[in-house]
Amino acid sequence: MKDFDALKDLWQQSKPAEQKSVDLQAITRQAKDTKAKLMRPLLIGSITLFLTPFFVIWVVYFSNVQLNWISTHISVAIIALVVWLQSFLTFFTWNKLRLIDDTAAPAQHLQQWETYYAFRKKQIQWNKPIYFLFLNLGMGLYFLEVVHGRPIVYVLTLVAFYAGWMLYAYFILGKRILEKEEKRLKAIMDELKGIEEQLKAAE
Amino acid sequence: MKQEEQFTALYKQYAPGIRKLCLGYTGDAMLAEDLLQESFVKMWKNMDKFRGDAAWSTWIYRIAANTCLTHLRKKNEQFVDADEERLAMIPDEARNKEQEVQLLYKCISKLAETDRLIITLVLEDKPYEEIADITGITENNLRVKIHRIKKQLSEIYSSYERL
Repeated sequence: MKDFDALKDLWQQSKPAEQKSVDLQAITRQAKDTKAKLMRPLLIGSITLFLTPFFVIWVVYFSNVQLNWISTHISVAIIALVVWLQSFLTFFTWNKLRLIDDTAAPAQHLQQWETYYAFRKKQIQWNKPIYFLFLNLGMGLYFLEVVHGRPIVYVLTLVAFYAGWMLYAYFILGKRILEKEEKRLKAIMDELKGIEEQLKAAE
Repeated sequence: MKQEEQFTALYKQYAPGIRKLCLGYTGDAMLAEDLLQESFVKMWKNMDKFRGDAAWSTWIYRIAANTCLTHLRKKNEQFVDADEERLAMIPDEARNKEQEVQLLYKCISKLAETDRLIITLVLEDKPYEEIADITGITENNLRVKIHRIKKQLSEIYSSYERL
């Protein structure tokens, strides 16, 4: 059996390339920062969602579109509220990620990631259905005035197209994405747990 | 000293050791380079949090250890067929030191995740006290663990060498 000291000598003889110049810009540009990669879409999503209701309000109240029904006002209120709540939730998730301390002891660090992924797993289970339900409730109320007085064929086509797409997006596309995401999160959590147990066993 | 100058100095001082740590963890040079860069980006972003409670070395190695341990999703990419790998590792009479070092990296990457980090720090001749600070494992438990990992690594290396 190879003596450990021999391995140590071998290790210490290996000299990695010397760092002659250090370009911070290049390092930050090239680095595959996993956390930043997860955080960026959350922040962009949160900002986009936050701005969306302003656009809806502008369309309904400040553009040339004339919509006066009470149901339309209620729909705008529901859509704005739902989208803003989603924006805050996305921001909250972003902040949860931001707070993961990269400098903490490994066991603590792993625990923080595990908590984050457990939160995400729960979140995708309840958040998406609720968001979908209320957003479509708002959209349904909005369409009441928009389609009023239009030919029945137009109304039926619009309803069929909208409902068809939404049902497909939710029950087929959404379910598939959700299952894939749940599987991915479970795999990550299992791996984190495995490493955490290695550390616990050593304590 | 300006933060950027300090970063540059720390990079020059610690990047070689961190690179070896990442190489030991992944057994893959390209992946190790990614983890090295990611560790230093995290270090740059957290430099304002450094209070001097621990040495720079401990702090930087801890960030690198965390980066390695949470690098999970791509981990499966490095798993290649064991037989194929063994064939690739058949010792050549003309094998030079560098190949032996590469074999050592591969052998380390066969250990459990936390063991890879611990043994790499041991090979780097870090004092046990510092390894305990980096990993958050008590010194006494660490000694027991290191004893076991040393034995395991020697066995793995010898098994490859015999081929």
